[in-house]
Amino acid sequence: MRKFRSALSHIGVIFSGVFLTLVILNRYNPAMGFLTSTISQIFILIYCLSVLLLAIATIADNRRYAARMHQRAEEAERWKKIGTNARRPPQR
Amino acid sequence: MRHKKPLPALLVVLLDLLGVGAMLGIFALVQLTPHAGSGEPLQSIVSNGSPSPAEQSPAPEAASTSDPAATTDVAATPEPTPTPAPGDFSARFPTDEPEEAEGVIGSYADSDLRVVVSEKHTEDATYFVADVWVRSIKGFKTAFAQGKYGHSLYEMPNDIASRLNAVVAISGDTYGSNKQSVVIRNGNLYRDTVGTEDVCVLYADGVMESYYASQFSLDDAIARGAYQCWAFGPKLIDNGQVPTSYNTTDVIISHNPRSAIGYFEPGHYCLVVVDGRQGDYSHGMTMDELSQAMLDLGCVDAYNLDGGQSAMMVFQGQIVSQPYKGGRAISDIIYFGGNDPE
Repeated sequence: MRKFRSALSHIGVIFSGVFLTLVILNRYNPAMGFLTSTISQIFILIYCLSVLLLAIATIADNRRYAARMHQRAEEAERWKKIGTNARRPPQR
Repeated sequence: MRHKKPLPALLVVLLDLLGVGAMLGIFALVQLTPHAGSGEPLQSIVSNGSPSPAEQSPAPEAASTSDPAATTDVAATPEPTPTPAPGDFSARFPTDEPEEAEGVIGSYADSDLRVVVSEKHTEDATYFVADVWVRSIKGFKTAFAQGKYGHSLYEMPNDIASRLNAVVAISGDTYGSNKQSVVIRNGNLYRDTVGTEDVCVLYADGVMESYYASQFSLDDAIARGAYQCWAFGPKLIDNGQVPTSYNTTDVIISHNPRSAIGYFEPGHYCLVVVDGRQGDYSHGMTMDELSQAMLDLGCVDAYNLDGGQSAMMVFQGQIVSQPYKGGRAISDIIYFGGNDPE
């Protein structure tokens, strides 16, 4: 998962760089169709898919991390209770 | 599990930049590779300067007959006064010699074409105006670079003009730089994709109208007999006034060399080229200044064409404007006089 996220991040960086360049070029010569050509649309599709997959992977990871943290917290709470019970003086 | 040592941050940044460069390279390869089209238009809208047969009134029947009496009758019938065909501007065409006015740097007149080229100045711009009269719509011509329709085919405007012996020519709309704009040239439809640019149409009856992108209908233009159509823009005159906004970017609106076409009446047009980006000689014009200049010339409609380094005016084989960095190769020109388009 980490490699997958890393690859998607690099794809995102690369296509962000491409589109920053194309947006600047488009301001100087909109008639060239830098942002409207077929290849630009293919790039936009790849960029959107990579960002979408990266976002899904990140959200899934965050949820898994949150679930693990929650589980740890519950476990700690349980151990805390067990520890408290252990320290409780024996019932007469 | 054994963990690899991560690459140095600088190397990662460099690799990403390399990726950006590679993707831009692929983009350029796909976008800018020359591609000649079949050369065949999708549709012939107007042939030989008159609208296609479907739009014309029925022609009178031929007078040839085997009956000698009938022949005599026909011969005796007085010839009717010819009604000017659409695209025939003979009634308005001036027959006097062009006047030598202030700023005129050259003129040309023959039976079908009359051109007067003059140099004008504003506070920080020098521009050239070619006032053109044509007797027929056939005299209003456009030509492709390398003589064929296609994507990313370029040639210097003066070379195209020289090849066609054009009397006067200016840079066109560089249709070959993109694939999403309407291309109608000399009565033929070559591309029917409507883009996001404002559009200018010259109809077979000599009327020229420019449209905001949202208001343009290709079907209506074809039905009305579009003879030439450019998609670059923006439109320069809105209801007889300087537009309040333009359909282009801020960078384009600022001072730049310009190329534009103006319309006075059917058969009477003007070509304008503004020099720019050249220090003390000429800064160029903003879009507002160009609109005002076209209005001052008396145009009722006007349209911006490919400017910047592409802007160039050629008169009788000579470049009369002073193009920025000597000009550059473009996809098409508008020209008058000389040979018919290839």
